[in-house]
Amino acid sequence: MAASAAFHLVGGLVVGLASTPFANSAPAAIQVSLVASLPAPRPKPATQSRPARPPAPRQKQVVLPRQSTTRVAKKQPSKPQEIAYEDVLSQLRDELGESDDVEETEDTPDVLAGIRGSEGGRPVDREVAAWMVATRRHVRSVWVTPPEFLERTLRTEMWIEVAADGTIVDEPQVVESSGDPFWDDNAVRAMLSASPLPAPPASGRWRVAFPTRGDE
Amino acid sequence: MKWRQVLAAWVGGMGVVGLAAVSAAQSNPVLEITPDRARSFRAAVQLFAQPVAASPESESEFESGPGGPSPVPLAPAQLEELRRAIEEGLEFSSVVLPLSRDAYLVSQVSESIQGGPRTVCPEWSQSGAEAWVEGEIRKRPTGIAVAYQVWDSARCTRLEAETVDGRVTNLRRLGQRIADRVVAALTGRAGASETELAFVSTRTGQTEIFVMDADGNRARSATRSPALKSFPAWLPRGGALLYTAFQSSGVPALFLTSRGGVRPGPFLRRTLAGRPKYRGVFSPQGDWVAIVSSVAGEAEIFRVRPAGKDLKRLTQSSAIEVSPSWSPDGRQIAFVSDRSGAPQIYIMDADGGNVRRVTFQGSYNTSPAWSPDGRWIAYETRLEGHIDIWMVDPTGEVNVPLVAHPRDDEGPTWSPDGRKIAFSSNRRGRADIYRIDIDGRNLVRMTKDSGQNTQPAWSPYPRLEDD
Repeated sequence: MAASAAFHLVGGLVVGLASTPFANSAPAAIQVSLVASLPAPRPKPATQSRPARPPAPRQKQVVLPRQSTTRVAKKQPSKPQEIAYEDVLSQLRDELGESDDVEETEDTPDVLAGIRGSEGGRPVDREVAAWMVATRRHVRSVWVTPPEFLERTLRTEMWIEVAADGTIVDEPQVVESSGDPFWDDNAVRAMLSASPLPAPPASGRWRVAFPTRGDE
Repeated sequence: MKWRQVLAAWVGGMGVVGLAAVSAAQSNPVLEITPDRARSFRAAVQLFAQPVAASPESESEFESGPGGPSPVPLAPAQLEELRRAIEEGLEFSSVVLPLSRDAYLVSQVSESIQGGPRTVCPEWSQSGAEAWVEGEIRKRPTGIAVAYQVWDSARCTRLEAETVDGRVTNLRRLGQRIADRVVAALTGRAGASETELAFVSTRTGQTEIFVMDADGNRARSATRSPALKSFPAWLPRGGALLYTAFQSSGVPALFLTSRGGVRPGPFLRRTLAGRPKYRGVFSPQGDWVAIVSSVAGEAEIFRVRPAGKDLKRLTQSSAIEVSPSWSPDGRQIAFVSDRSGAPQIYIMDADGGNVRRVTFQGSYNTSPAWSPDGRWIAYETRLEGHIDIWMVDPTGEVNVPLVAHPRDDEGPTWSPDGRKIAFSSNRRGRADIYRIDIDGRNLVRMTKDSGQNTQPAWSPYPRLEDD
């Protein structure tokens, strides 16, 4: 008690604090390249930090404690074979009949993040790229994930079988567990909740990854 | 081409897969999907059923009054009370929220929970519920048994099926227990709605240790004497509290409360006899007690077995060392020392070795509280003339604000699930206990009575055999 009281008397100086900047929103990785990656070495995706949104107005001066920080923007020089994401987006808009989507401005910069070829060096077909963009957007719109998962680095990969009409056939098969079965379940739940997906260019199997954040 | 079939079977394990599909899969890129924003899960809580046993008594009508044999243990209002308790327990978690009852597409009442797959999964999924909770009440010789199940509506699988026993008179606690388990079924970590907080209150005119439920209800006194009391700390098994009281001689000593099945009264009286014992804190494993006592007028930290053996002085400097907080594995202790000239947070091994400083910003950092997952140490820091609560990781590298307000916020304590922190604040004039999610959302004032309410200590998870 006495010691504690003593501490209350100490100090009183104005304290300068260099706090680590923490954004309330998850920093999103932006992958500029749409070129299917070569077997090795895997090209490091260019990343760009999404501008940090101000903290939620509910509780002022309160910042989400997270261990990831926004990253320095780094742009990769564009390559000739790439598909401009504006093209894909306009195609996507035509396909979905979207016009002035308010969320569009926020989603646009990173909507193509994470699309890369799993094998071979071929660029992704435009139809495939557009479908992936649409599917990614659709899954994100139904995916519910509490913030406590996002404090950690987790990644689940699964195979899904998509019918011609977009329906997911059977339960997705998790082939790379995150190590946390609840994150794996969460990803499978997101995938199933999203069924039917936008109709794919062709029915078949797709590998889908659910990381808690973009590539570091 | 045979290897492709082998590959297909190996990759998918889904039986026959067309070769074209395999080819497509090989050339298709990986679709990588990051979450766009965090949201809470939703769980629909149905009104639990009360199957009527096919026995002779079951022919009688429902009777709510005492006396006559009743085939159904709960009155309709009690069923609703249980459902409300589950929903409020979910609301408490902030992680799994109850689905609004307006959103239900299917019946609000549980069918019999026996049987296999459910056909209602798509309806629940469309309602926006990741899960639903159904159950039924069964009569027991003393009280009731509540059998409940948690279902995943997207995958249409049963996540959990359990039976909890309880009393008709304490449906709220039963509901909280079920809610905490629903949170565990979806996240792997149970909720903490069925926990308690101890704190120091002057509401009776004396300084007493009080205990309240984590929802702020049922505040009750755990001590009753004129002595000045402080620093309530839970025993690791829960139930009982260790606290400091200033005896008539003016020398502070340690005591156990009369609640929780321990023998109440002085604790470790023969340890450091004659010296003041300012504060005692059990290690999470219960095998040690860290004690703040004084040597040559300066506070130092000791450790001792609960039975009084193996006393050892852990801090050796000539400075003041106070506020021990154990790491969850019991191997380290965070504490406060002014050896640098101002109070700062330090960590030492549980035997006193390997001391390192954790906080470097500011000239007043005290009251460390180690999180249950070990990742954070919450502490008080004085900023611009008032005290805020920050969190630092044990390496000292990441340091973030949690509670900032022009008035003082003090004494952080973690909920056992690590999702919330409680603290005291004088932001409304007198000191009250508040809780907040560690992402800074859902600030709730928990004490509503008069007096100064300070020094909160959040209980461990309840032991299930406590009933």
